[in-house]
Amino acid sequence: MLELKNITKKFGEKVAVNDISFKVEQGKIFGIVGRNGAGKSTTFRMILNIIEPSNGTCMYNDAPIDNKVLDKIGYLPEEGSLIPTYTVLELCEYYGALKLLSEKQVKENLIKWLEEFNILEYMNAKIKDLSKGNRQKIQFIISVLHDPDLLILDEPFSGLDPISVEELKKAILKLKEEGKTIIFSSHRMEHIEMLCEDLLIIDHGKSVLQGNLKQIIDTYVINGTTNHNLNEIFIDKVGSLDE
Amino acid sequence: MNKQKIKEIVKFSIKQNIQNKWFVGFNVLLLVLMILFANAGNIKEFLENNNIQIFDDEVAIEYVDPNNIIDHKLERMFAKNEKVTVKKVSENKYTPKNIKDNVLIVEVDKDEEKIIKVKITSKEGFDSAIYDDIVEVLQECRSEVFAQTLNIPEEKLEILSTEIPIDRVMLAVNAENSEQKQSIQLVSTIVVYMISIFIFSKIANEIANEKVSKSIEYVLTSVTAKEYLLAKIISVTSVVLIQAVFTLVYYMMGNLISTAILMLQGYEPAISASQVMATLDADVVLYICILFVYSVLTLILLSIIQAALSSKTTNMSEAGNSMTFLLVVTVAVYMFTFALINPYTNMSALIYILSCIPLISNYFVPAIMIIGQAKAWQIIVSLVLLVISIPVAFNKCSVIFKNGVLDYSEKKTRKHKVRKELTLKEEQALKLEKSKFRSLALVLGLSMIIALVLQILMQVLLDVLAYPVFIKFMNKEQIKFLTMGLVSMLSLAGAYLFVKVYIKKDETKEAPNYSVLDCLKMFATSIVFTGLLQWIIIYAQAQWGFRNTAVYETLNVPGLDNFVLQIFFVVAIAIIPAVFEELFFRKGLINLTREYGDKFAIVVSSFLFAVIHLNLAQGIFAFFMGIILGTLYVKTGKLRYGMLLHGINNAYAVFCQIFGSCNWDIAYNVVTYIGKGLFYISIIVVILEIIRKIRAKEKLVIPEGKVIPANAKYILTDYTFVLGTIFVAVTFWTTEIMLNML
Repeated sequence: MLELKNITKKFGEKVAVNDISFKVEQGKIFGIVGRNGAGKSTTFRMILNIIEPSNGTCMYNDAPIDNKVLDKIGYLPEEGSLIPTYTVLELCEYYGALKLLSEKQVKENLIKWLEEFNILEYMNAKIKDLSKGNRQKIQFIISVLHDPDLLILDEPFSGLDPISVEELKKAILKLKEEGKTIIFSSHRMEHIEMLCEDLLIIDHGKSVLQGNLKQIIDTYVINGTTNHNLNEIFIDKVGSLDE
Repeated sequence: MNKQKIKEIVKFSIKQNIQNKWFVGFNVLLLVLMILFANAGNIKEFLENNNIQIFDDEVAIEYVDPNNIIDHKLERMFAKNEKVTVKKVSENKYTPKNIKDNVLIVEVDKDEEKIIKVKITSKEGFDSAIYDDIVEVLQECRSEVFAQTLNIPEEKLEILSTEIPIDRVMLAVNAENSEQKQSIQLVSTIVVYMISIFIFSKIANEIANEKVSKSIEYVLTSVTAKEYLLAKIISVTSVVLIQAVFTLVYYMMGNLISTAILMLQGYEPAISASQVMATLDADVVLYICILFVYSVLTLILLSIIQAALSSKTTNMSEAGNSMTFLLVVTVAVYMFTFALINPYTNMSALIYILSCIPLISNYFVPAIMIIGQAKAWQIIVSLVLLVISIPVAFNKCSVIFKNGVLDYSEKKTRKHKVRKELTLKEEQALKLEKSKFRSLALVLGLSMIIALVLQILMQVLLDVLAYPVFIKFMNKEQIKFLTMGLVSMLSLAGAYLFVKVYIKKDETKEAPNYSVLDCLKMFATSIVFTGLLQWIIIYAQAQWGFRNTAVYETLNVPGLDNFVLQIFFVVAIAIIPAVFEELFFRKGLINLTREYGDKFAIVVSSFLFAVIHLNLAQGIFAFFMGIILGTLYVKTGKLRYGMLLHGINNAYAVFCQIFGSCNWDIAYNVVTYIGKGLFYISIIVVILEIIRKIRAKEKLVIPEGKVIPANAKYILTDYTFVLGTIFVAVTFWTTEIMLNML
């Protein structure tokens, strides 16, 4: 279980993340929604201990997140985190080495996942020769290469065509069945509606709305009616914050 | 730190660097170059034996020489060169149209001013070696002609053109080895520089590559910034080491081939490197070892800094720029060393200090060792600082690295200070504040003017009115000090009374209420500072001739054996300034300006205290003295301690002067001993106080029930202290022996 308590991050005067708290139960999918620059990536970076929060704590299974815990977390950064001059295999070997995987393990897992996405032929291709969609898939593979318990995906669907989105969705659901905890962010409501059980809407670093997706859709009232889709709720909520 | 992860990154990084077409290509090139380099002699010989010449054009030199200055010297010069023919002709018959490609015409004639006059004509440029030979011949001819005109033998004239032979002997320096060491340092500097270029570019490229591709974000979720930095530095250093070993192997291969060729031709093989090493003196080997230690440590330190710099880059071209910075700095430091230290250098405190600073010490210490002026403490301190600086730099740089590497913003936009829109109320308040400050400045200025005007006025009044009265029963010197005392007393008191009107009592601030003992402790601290200040001033006087002539003139009074004069002297110089200057500058000015903060008040009062001395040398001393006295007043809240300190400071000089000029040696010594004793006692008091405070702090964390041994016993029985002392002593002793060997 991942738990964030009153987490805040300030960059100088600017408050990037302001007093956010949430809990993610084991084996569930949690979505974070917000516009660009709302503080999603900063929140993830704080969970991953890349940047230190100005205030508040992050706990995974009631323990602070140190490097040992990080080895059980998989992370898909928002933008391409692939060194363009390496081949897919070389890169996976490097990142695998960082998670203490042997070359053999890396190769086995890589082949398994490349087959899953039907791109086995790209194993020895250089990253710079791959299409954007395939790069995103490779990035996803890298984040699950070491079989993590908690998966953090920052905008996993960006730049993917509809078929690839389906493939990725399938892979995520499969991981969920295996009992993995998954957190992902998006600014596209349909992806959230598709996958998440719980969600958090943030805007300007502040938590605007959070809770169970079904409950929110059932109870959120716009113009006296309920049962609106998430997109309408988001526009209503984030719009109202601007006023 | 996770050693396994660091190992994995290093392994991967080395693999990437070595299994790479550039690495292979570079090594092939290096191998070829090394073989060529080692066989340069053989190649040259081969070319010469087979008559392969680069310039094989034939050249015909014709010279016009009516006064027979050249006297067949040109023919002799080119006698062995088959390609060059020399012929004397009567005139230059060539024009641009009929001149041939390979003809050179040299026209020589006597000249009144320049001794000889030469003109060399050809169609185009030609082999510069031939030209240089001709010039050499002509120069010889000129000396000959010059010698003839002066009627002196030509050989004597030649002495002038040679360098003065100087037999330079420095008994402390082994001159022969010095030269060897100098060349070793030069070579090592070049090698270290080449290696730095290699290491810096590798680190800069790898880090910038991972940063620009943003893969660093993923990396940092697996390892800490420190681990990553360490892994990068280890891997790059290892790659450089591997490359160095390869280069050595290539060199040996080249040598082997060269030896084989020589042996095939029936020659003895050339001397090998190990034979060269055997011919070196022990102290040269030692020097190489020390140089090596400095180079390696400095390279590590530099690569850490380079890593931190690279983390600030946002694209690949910036990575190159970040490298240039460090490289330029290293060259600049080397040049600086070169300029500062040479065999005729007289070591100064500056050079000693510089030689201890990391990043500079690797140039300074070897250079100082060459001229035989290195000291044991210098090497130890500089090495210790260098070693300490590595983890310090590493920790600091890993923080910079972590912050920098996640910052992708292209350019830091400089924040413009937005002028705050002020409300009417705030604006009024600001204006009020400004006017208040202005009136304060006015009061300060006026008080100074009053003090000065009163001083002049009193002086004139006393000179005109009192002098005729006093002169009847006093001598001139006595009157001088009497008026001096009265003038300063009245002017300062007047200025104080003026200032006192404007002092507002701040009811909210409570006056500090220390016990007499605490105040005395502060007083002791002030004495230490005053002593140090005096010492600096004396040192400055001795070193830079920074003479305080005003004080010297005031104190140098004739007829000081007169008892009445002595009393006036003491009162006018020691007592009155102590009391009234403290009253005006400390109590008056500090309280007046204190609403802007204690520090501001102390500095302002000290500045004015310096200004009123109307003398630069004295003013500087007065300024710092003012700061000490002002701080003492602010801390204790009582004027009497400042007065006492000021009085002691002045009285010391006064009594020294009196007893000195009266030749009362015992009294003089007593005064100086009291002065020094006071200084040392104060130092002891301050040290004891510091120890007490540290122990008081320690007491807070020591768990209950634990018995702390008595202070001195504790230190002496602690084995780390004993071991540390022995270690330090042994290190100094061995280094001193080492240096004596050099």
